Amino acid sequence: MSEPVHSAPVVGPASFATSFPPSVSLVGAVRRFVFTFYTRIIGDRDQASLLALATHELLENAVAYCAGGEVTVRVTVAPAGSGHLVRVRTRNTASSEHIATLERIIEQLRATEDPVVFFRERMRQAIRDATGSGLGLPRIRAEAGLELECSVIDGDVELIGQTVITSKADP
Amino acid sequence: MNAPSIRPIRSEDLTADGVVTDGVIELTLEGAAELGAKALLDDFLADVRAASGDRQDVVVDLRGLEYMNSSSFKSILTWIVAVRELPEERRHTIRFISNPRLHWQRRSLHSLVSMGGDAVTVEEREPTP
Repeated sequence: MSEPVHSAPVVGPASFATSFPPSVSLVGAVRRFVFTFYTRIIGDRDQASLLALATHELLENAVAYCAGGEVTVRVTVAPAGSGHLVRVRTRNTASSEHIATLERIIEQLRATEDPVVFFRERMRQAIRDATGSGLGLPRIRAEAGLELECSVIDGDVELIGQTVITSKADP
Repeated sequence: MNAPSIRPIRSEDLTADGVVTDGVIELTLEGAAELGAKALLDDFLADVRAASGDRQDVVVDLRGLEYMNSSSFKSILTWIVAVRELPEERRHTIRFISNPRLHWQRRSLHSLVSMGGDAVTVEEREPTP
């Protein structure tokens, strides 16, 4: 008997987006969904686990610092060579102070030569800092390998994380 | 004298239990440590420190922990660095048991071990069916 059609690999671009008022419980729900989404498209549970981590941290950041209205997350997975380009985009309102903090951290991440060393330094700082962890974005960069960008659009802050996942079969 | 007890965590998304046995404290975390979990974990780990007297080795079973956000990661980080900085004669070990099916655990525990020195180790073990 042939394989059912719904189990065939996804060969084209796939995306989804959702918007909701800031809700902690929905962040976990999205993480569970995207883990399955990434696994089905990329076919690699290990990579899917790290991409779900990155998606969770970006979305949790959006929910935690949303200054009103909704948060939006859009995930796109597109073929790229023998692998996939994965892009996670969040959008929300935020205070000017928070936007400045995001821009500063991302600038530091872009300037660093070694994201793992940078993450360790942030961990040392986090232990001394009683407020917040400040670890989310450096963790995404160091552990999940996503490049990060930040921009302000019509007063909303948009965070983009992206990476290329290569097939395990690649050398 | 009985060791101080470790109050469990019972929240909608996260449970944590600690059992003091002969010379070892066994912790089990299950569910997901997300927004709001950090304060619970901070209190839980304060109980663990009190129960151990900063002397008893601790085993932390994370195999049922689906996810840990960065705030909760900081809570664990703060604990292991506090143990690392104990005087040598009082320093105990922390051994994490991780789930090889949850790949984020391998990465995140590697990050934590890098901050814990010799006091922290990780063992991968398949979850019990």
